[in-house]
Amino acid sequence: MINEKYIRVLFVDMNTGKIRVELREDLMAYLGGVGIASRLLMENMNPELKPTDPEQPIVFAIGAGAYVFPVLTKTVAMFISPLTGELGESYAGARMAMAMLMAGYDALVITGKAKRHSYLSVSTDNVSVRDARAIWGLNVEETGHTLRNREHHKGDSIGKRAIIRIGPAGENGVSFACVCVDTYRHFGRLGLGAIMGSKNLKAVSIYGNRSIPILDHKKYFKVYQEIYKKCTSTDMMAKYHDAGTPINIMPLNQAGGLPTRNMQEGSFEAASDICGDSFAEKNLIRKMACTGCPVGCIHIGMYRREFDKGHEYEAINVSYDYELIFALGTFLGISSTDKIIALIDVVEKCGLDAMSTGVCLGWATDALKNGYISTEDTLVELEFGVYGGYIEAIKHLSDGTNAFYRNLGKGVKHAASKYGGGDFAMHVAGTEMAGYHTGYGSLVGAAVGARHSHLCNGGYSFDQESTKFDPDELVDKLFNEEIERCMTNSLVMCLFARKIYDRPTILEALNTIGWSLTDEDLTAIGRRILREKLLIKKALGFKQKSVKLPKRFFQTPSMNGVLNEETANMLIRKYSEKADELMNEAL
Amino acid sequence: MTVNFYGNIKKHTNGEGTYVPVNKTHSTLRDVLDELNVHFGDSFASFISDNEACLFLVNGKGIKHTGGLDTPVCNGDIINILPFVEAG
Ligand code: SF4
Repeated sequence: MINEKYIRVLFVDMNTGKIRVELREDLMAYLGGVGIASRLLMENMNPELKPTDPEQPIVFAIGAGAYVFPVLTKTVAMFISPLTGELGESYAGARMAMAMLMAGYDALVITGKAKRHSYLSVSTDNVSVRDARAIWGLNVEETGHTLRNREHHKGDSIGKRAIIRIGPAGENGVSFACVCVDTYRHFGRLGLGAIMGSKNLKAVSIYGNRSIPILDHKKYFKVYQEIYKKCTSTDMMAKYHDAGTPINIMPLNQAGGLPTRNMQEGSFEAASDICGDSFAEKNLIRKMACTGCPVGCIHIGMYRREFDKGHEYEAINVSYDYELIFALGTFLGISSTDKIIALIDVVEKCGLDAMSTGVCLGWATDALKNGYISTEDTLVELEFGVYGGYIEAIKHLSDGTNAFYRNLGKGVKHAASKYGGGDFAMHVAGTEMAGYHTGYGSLVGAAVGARHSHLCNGGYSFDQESTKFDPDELVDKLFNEEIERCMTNSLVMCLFARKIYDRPTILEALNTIGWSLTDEDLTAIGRRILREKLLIKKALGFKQKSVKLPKRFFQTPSMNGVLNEETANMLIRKYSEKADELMNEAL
Repeated sequence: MTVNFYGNIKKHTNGEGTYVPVNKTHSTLRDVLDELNVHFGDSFASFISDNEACLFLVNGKGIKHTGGLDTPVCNGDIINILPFVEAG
């Protein structure tokens, strides 16, 4: 897409092994990333079929400007979510965007189900469906080891290759199975792992060694350096490198917005034991970066695990973030950094989404205590603060050991519909909640957001602003921010760099690599993309006005006090009217 | 009344973690911040005026539903100014 007038899309049919490449001029109107992925999802999905039907597509897309400017590091995946039955959208960093760019593809569309367990190997001059029978059943880590050895490209640095893979959870169809990207990043949310599993697709290896000429190098390099400087010499991203996202634990805890013990409370008495500083002091061993990022916010923590009697130890390394500490820490009442790392490690190896896993186990703990389920269901004791049971439960969840775990593996909403306890099953429109109980912004923002994530429109930010609550203003802010993020996610930037890439910077950057865009174009692109996503959701049967939020959101005080269900529903209605208007617009 | 500072805002308070307002008759959070702006100067004032820089808590609660900066305050109140929570 750099200095070209088309988007290059690779289509792979896993059933026949056939491939084709399309050069799509029409997709330029969607810029890149989430824009082109939405359009390709809409064109290739079949709303009549279930999400795991072989016909349903997985779309990966990189952004306009991916990798050639700092922090434009992410790849977007779009699919129909097996968790919610509607729009699936997830982002991951590491090396994938760089590898796709260097391989020569802006987007990759995978359909069909392979006849046997397979993985897909994509490189600049070759695409093949390869035998994965020997690695099927291996965990995420083992799969990574094996494929790194197998997917060698002679004489070239492994730095140009990305490997994404699923674990047993994806193979077993857990609705919130994730896809691991290059060990430390993930397409975490909404169950892409299960969709890959349903296609008999264990992994995708992407390798690229193209060289891409930059036509006006002088101009490009000037803009590059300006952005680079903003990343490295200002305060704008410093905190992400320093303590990283776990820095959020203490302020959220103090504000009462940190969901604790299945959100029975909004703060955790042991927060300081598991905050960013505690992880740094006890476990941090290094920091890493996605390729193309000069910041490096990926914090790797280590702990020494005794795996057998007789002084048998091993070192466990995982990346830790705020969301993981919330989901597998405060939400389960776990107060030790080592134990949280142990839980993250099991989740990683199984290939589960950490947030959904933690929220499901939080509900199960409450449901067990309140008699909705018994230990005959859970097979282990689950108690807030006691991590041993959770380690075993995570494995059962991944393996689908019994009917209870198979139901829980379809998400907390589904499990509560079977066993009861819906009032404290902490999901928003079927997606397990994120770690922010800050107010109407976070709650309604997730309810109306296209993928029901806190990142759709950053509603938690509006809860923290010092202006007083105004329903219409909040709805406008959520709507406008969602549109803006559709545009920025078509670049696809790491959201930590939002403030670095203001609109003038975006225009300057893209216009040095072949685009000629105006500010109005960016607005139109954002609106076009959100409209497309809303139309996909509509086609899949989603109705904003029908969202019913669990009672506990209105019982446990948020950072801004107790929320009112009627007010939340009114805000959802108002947003929904704006969404309807946008869908009816001819763009 | 006590104002506590946490995280990066301390760069703008000469490292001070606490301030007790001199004027005891402040009636809103805005009045307190006006005194802080005068006391700590321009860099503090411009930092807290950024809508996405700090999170204000009065007696441990957010201020969205108590009037924003017009939230009433009185003697004995604890005002905490924390780093803004961001995610990505
Ligand atoms: S800030 Fe972190 S997540 Fe974002 S691109 Fe850099 S390393 Fe990756």
